[in-house]
Amino acid sequence: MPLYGHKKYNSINKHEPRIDGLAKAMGTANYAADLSYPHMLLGGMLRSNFPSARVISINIEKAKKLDGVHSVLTAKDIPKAKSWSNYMYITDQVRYVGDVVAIVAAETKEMLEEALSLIEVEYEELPAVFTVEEALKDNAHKVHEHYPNNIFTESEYNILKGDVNKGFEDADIIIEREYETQYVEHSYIEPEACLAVQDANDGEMTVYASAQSPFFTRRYIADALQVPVKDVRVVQQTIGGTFGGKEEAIGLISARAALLAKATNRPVKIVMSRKESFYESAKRHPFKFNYKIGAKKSGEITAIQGELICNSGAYNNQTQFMNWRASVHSAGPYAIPNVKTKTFGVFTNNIHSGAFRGYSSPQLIFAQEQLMDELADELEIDPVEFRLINCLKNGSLTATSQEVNNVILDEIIKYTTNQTNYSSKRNEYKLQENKIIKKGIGMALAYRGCGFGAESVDSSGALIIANEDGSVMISSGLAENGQGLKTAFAQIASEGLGVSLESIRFHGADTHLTTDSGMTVASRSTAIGAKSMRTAAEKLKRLMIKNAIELSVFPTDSTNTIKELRATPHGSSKGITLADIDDIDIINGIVFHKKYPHIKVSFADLCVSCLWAGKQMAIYDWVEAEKLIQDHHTGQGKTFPNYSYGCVIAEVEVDIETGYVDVVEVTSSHDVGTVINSSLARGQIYGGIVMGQGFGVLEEVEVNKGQLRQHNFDNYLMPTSVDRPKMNINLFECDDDTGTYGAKSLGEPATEAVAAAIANAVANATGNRIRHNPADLEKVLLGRKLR
Amino acid sequence: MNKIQLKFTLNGKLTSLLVKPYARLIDVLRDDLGLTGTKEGCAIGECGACTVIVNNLTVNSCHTLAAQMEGKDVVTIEGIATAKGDPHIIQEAYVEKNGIQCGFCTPGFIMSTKALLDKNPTPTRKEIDIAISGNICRCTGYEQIVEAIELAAERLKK
Amino acid sequence: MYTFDYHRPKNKREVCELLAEYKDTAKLIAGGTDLLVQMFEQSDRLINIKNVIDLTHIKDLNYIVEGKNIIRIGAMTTHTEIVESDILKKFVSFLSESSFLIGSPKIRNTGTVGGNISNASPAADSVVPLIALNAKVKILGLSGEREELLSDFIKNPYDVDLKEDEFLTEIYFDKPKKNDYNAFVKLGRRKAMAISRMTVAVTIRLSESGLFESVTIVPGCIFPVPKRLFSVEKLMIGEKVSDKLLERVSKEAAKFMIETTGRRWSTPYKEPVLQSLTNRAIRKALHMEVHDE
Repeated sequence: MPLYGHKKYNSINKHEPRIDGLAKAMGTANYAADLSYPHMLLGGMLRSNFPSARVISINIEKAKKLDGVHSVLTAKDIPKAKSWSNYMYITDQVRYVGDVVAIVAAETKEMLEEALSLIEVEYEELPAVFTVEEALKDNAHKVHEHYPNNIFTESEYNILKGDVNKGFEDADIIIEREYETQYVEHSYIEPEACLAVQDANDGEMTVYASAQSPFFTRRYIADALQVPVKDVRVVQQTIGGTFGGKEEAIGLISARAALLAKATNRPVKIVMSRKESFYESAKRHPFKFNYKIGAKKSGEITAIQGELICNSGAYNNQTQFMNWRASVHSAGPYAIPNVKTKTFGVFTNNIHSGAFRGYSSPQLIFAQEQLMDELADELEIDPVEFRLINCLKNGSLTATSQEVNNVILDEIIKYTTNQTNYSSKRNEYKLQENKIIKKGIGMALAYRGCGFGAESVDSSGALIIANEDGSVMISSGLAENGQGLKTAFAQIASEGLGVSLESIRFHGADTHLTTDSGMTVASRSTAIGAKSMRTAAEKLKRLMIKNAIELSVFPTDSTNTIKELRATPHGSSKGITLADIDDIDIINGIVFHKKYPHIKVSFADLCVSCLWAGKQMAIYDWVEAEKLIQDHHTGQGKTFPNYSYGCVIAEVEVDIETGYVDVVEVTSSHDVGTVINSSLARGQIYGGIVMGQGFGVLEEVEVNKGQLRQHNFDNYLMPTSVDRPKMNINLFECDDDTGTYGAKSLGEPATEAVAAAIANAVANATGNRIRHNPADLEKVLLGRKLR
Repeated sequence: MNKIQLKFTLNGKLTSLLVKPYARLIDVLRDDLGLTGTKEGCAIGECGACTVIVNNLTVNSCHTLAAQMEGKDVVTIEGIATAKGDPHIIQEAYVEKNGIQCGFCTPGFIMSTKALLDKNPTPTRKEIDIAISGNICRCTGYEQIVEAIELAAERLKK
Repeated sequence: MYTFDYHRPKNKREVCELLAEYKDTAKLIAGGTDLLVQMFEQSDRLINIKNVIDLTHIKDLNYIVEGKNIIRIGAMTTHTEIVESDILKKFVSFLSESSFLIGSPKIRNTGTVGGNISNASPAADSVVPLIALNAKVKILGLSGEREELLSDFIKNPYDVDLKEDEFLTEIYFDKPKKNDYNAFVKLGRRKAMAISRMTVAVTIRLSESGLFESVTIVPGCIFPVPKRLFSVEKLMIGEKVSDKLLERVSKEAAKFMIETTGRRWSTPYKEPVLQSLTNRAIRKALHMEVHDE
């Protein structure tokens, strides 16, 4: 049983406290809103309250004249109003409620607010479309001119495997179902913030920002200012959570702060209020699913056909990537011979949808795993058995005909369902009568392609520098978002180089100091992105050993025999032949001869020698992604280097008189390949479960004709400590060595199957299916949305 | 608009300053006094990131009027370290048990923890959950935070 | 945010004087949890407020006193103090419980019962059990003190019966007797920090022979202002408790709600849930099994 605990490493694969934990506990860690600069101004945005409108006129004179106001800018006052990514820095064509029509810099909060209130805007209201149905109608209002039917064509993907018509002919039972998911807010506790400072001498613009991906943010600033990228520097501050949300939103406010800083020659700080954050930051894509699935009486699925449509909102830069992933996973973790799915996004005059932990998987799994339960019920086969028959195994072909190996999904399923007594409980709960509080148990499976796959280029770079005293600095373009990246990377560097964890400093992502390694997304950092950290560390180790030999730290004569040792006394050194680098190792900061370990020197002493001898003590390495080829029309091909697998089982108690769903216990099993840090891994899973609970039962941003009904935490509800379920975690490892030390993605897998398991549990408890997420009070009681 | 002369005890020190009459306690702490450990997450008292302790009771500083603090005893995250500046046992426990991920909610949680353990040194798990029910964490799922609080309680007893 | 001036009166008389001076530009602040949020969000209701008057430094507005026949609670008593009061736990535990379910510990530490009542949100959790207790409020103005039934004091959501120079100083109610029972049930979307979706408070007096002698039933979040379900209560007088009676009573409660408010978009949900919560509140008061388990 490949449970965590059987692998042997020095620095990784165990608990280590976070290296950035203490500063956060002391309250001294610097988040972007904590920063202050002399003569700093505060920046703010004026937003449209219409979902679709043209700005006929905008009068900023009164605002400009106000005491303490240093700049007021509209779309025509800036070099480039439209960003490189379809979003608008400032617009005169409003496409959603929240679109920015002017920006202001002023000395105090009060002056800023007053200035914003003095800007007079005349709007011509235009028609608008809010739902996918409205947007797809003939002659519907075009959200963007160059997308004539509002279909986001770049986000359309098809999967065509085998022949579904034949597959359905072979089926004994066919069912068709529709599912729908809701808008969800990231709700990181830290609202977006940034501080832009222009260097008075050469105009270099530095922005300190709560940026999930600093290089992505930099692109916006350089684009808005129309300057070369080298003249922009983004320094990531300690970031208060992101989950995919601090990408476009931070890019946009950083660009705006930079524009104001340039216009005023003063530092400008922008801190979003929570309400603004709700209005401007991207939401989880709502999805509509239409699935048809057929199976033989004996349980084998013969065909699956699906249409997956998501609401992209007014602007978009993610649906085209996200839908690619969705299409690859559109048939779930099952070996189905015939697959035909179509995935596409639609523009509407709503808040835009974007990256959010899972990147389509929580929505897809919500639909697919209920579909599987429904089909199993029709076939009268136990859902566990049904999944074991059909799930991916070693040698199976996925929906894109990729052969997968090192698959331990069936072991995970068996372990978890046994552990929780799933089958006997499910049957017992089906027979509850005369009960007001009904119990239910539900399961959901997940598989997830690690990293970007063929969606994007999954390459990364890392820099590792040894200092003269043996301490080490590492840096990567990938960023600490709270997930523990700094600690994991330090552990990986420690493992690769052979020095202690305490001797390593991870410098935060600063675009001047390291290279663009792509975005910190897709749960790619530890699994794939850290590969270059490992190789750089290992290369540095070899380099330092080479240095040690060349510097006669292990002195040899012409026959490469060790003559004497400088650092420590030893017995007899006669006759010890030093052949090459492979004779030496470094562990825990000690450089030693493998065969004769008493011949050693400290890494620190080695570094001193290297410094004074002018030896190279640093490595920059780059690991390029595996080339993945996929057919554009059928989606067939190898789409990901490897996959992680998971099984989640949720137990609920449903009050059938009020519709209240109490999530009582969740058991979450994940194949993480190799655990890098056990307490960080558990932390991701605990957090993922509670986030999944929110998605399944509580959270929804209701968008009504473009207006948000929820824009703060008084009515956008997340689980509190009292609401969380009892949580059990099983960490599995395997021999797949694709990722860094075999690590697989975990950040997103940790949450993606939870809501689906809850939905299946609710169905078990009540006998009614909630096919439209979330399972809130009214939906559970009435079986439909209240309004 | 007349500023108010406010005299109160802050982190053990008698503090006197002029504050705007409508300033919230969090504004005075962060902007006037540079104590940025207390965080603003929502401004309406729902997330608890701004938790501080006033006269031994936790409050949300984002919906507490600064001027009302006259004569009161206010403690922030900056005020619980030891006299030498070493971390409080609670702070150490949070680090050790991985009760911290992005860290933004952490000062608020730690203040709720301090107020709890000062009043009730041997809380049950349920009492812990209730004590932190006004603090929202989006990253940790609360589990390792509760473990940290239990560890802190154990250590403080000694 | 709105900006305003701050005043710190030293005694109750000064409060009235300041209110009289600043009239409709004045607002009292107790814990501040409601007021400051509404000011921050620039609620239309507060657009004229330029003077905030602080009650927290006035002594003798914060007390819980057991008299011979009544229990008195000062308006500035916090929810936490109500939760922890032995007197209230003994006589009106449902009031302790309803206060316990308000917000979070922090909100309870500074939020006051007087503030909760004066804000008069339809979801105000303190109000519902107090109306079930037929509580009265004491109001102080420049011309002296007067009293009013709490259910009359709250006129409309966010609108209470106070003249310009008046403010709420105390809430009091009859001390329950030996055969008096009470209970409060709350439905929220989550277990803490939950604005009530619906609440029901119940007080019951049984005769020596176990018949309902007097009953008050008050649902919250059903009407703009919480009020007793008089017609429903009448059904119970002189009867003995039974499943059948409770079913009748619950249905009548829902019927009364629909007759009063009309059928609205929320009725399909509220109708069955009000029935359920009314039933549960009565069972809970009488220490019966509320539902299976």
